[in-house]
Amino acid sequence: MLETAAEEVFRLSEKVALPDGVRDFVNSEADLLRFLRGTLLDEMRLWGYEEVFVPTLELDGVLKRPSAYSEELLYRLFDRKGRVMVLRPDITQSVARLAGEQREEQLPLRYSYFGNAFRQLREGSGRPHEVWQAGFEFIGPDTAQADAEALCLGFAALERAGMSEVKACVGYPALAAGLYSPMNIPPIGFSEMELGIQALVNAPEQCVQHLERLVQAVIQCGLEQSCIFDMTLAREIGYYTGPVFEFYAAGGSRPLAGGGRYEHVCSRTGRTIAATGLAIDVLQVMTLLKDRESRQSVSRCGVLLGYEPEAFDRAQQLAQCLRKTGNVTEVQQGVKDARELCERAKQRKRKSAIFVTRSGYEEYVLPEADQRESSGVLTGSSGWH
Amino acid sequence: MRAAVSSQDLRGGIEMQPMDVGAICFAVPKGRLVPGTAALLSKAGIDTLALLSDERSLIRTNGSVSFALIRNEDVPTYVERGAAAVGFVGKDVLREQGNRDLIEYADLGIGECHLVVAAPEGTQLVPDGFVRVATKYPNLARQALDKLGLRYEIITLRGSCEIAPRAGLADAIVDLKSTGETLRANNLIEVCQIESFTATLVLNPQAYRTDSRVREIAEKISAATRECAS
Repeated sequence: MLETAAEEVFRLSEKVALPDGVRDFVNSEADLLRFLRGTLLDEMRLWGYEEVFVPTLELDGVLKRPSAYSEELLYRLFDRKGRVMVLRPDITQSVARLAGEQREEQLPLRYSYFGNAFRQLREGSGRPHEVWQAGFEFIGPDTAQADAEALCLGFAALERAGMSEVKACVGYPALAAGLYSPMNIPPIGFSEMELGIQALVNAPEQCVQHLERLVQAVIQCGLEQSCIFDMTLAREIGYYTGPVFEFYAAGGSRPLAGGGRYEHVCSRTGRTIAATGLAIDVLQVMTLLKDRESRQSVSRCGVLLGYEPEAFDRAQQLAQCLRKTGNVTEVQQGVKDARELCERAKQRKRKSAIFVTRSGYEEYVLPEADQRESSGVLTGSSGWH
Repeated sequence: MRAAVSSQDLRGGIEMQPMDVGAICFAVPKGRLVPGTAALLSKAGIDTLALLSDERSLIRTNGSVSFALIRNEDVPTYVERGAAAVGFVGKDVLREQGNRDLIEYADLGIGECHLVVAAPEGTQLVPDGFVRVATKYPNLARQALDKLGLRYEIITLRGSCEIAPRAGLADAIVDLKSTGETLRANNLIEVCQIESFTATLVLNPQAYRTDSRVREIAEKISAATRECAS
């Protein structure tokens, strides 16, 4: 039976449909995601944070109560025993659970992570339901210096990922709760915070002290010009007990990262541990990087290797040699001749094409889009060595 | 690709480039609120000629400010996502849409209206009775009807709720009333008033925290509001 075009499109769209708010990443986007994963985690590693992997599914009880997220944001499902499971809405809570299971002598713990988290948002919010986060948790100390470390590492990681003019905003929900109207205090730069702190009459003494120490620590780290204090900042997630942070960069309009100080009550031992942490919204960073990247041509890399039907074994040997010396080498089946191979290599954004014949090989170096000089991976232009 | 994010991009020192570049965009709801908004803005020293002109374009730039004329309900979205740094929006919209990442800077005291339950004359809205209620504000309506102890079904409409009872679509409506004329014209009687709303000045959080021009403008507008009130 003949299908109309519209019917076919409908049939296909049914087949390839995705759940709301999730998406694939391929080509340059996948490259960017991998690059950010590497860069952000490497910066955290330099600060002594150890990467951990935690499950995507957690039992409902692991989530902090009173609920950190409004119930309708959560993806819930049942396991075969009828227990309620949650698709993690963030990674912090799983890492905190993990930390709670460690022996007390092991504190302080510095953990970093990279992964996805899920929130069902209102339809049409334009925000993804599956977010990618790179983050860290500093578990153990309840000092302002630990919060300052979280801020400093936030700057370091975002700047290494290529963000410019990064600014951090610090808020303090526990402190704001005690004030009549937080709106009366405008955002203040950390360099003028002495005045700001004086304005905090009637605020809980303990919070004010913690804030004062945090400001001092940030000044000692030389970051006061990039930090702002704002009473109106109360993160969407409700489990914070101390200062909270958000990071912004030039060219963006949504926060790139968020975090703060919280307490985790270990369900097994009932002991409370203090922690501070930050989660970077990797897709938000990616959006800003992409804006910049799109103005630059993507440079070619790697080799596309083709062969005459009879030269399959030689092609395989050469490919192995190239890979051992660190060259990305993709073997292309069924090309007729060198010309066709070069066309394919251009499409695949490879730097060079090597055509292997029974008697030898030919390397073709493809010109960069911007006419930069480039050289091949093999020295000669043809012949076996 | 790697070259794009080398260490050369790192911030050199603690000296910051100001983030304030480009025109500041104001999200202004089309219609009812425009004259009041323009009056406040000009009192705050902002040139509103572009806003009040008869131009057909819905985004109008005038030097360092631009105005986006959009639907009331879309103002929070524009401001939350940073397409506009400053927005004017009825509190009814903010309450109906719930949790948004916005700074509600000041109550502007203009555009007052009341959310009411209204029904054709003679309709009995009794506790435990069942009513079909047409509204543009399903969330606010639910809260109000729960308080009244009614059993109900909500019919969400995009506008012109007043005709729903006459058309036989609903028994009552929950809608905004400013003068009451539309209700009367459609043979509806106010059963009870739920809440009153005025327009609010909202700001994009990042702009508020990192752009001093936005803070200045917000302060000027709220000063102009106080002046009007006194």
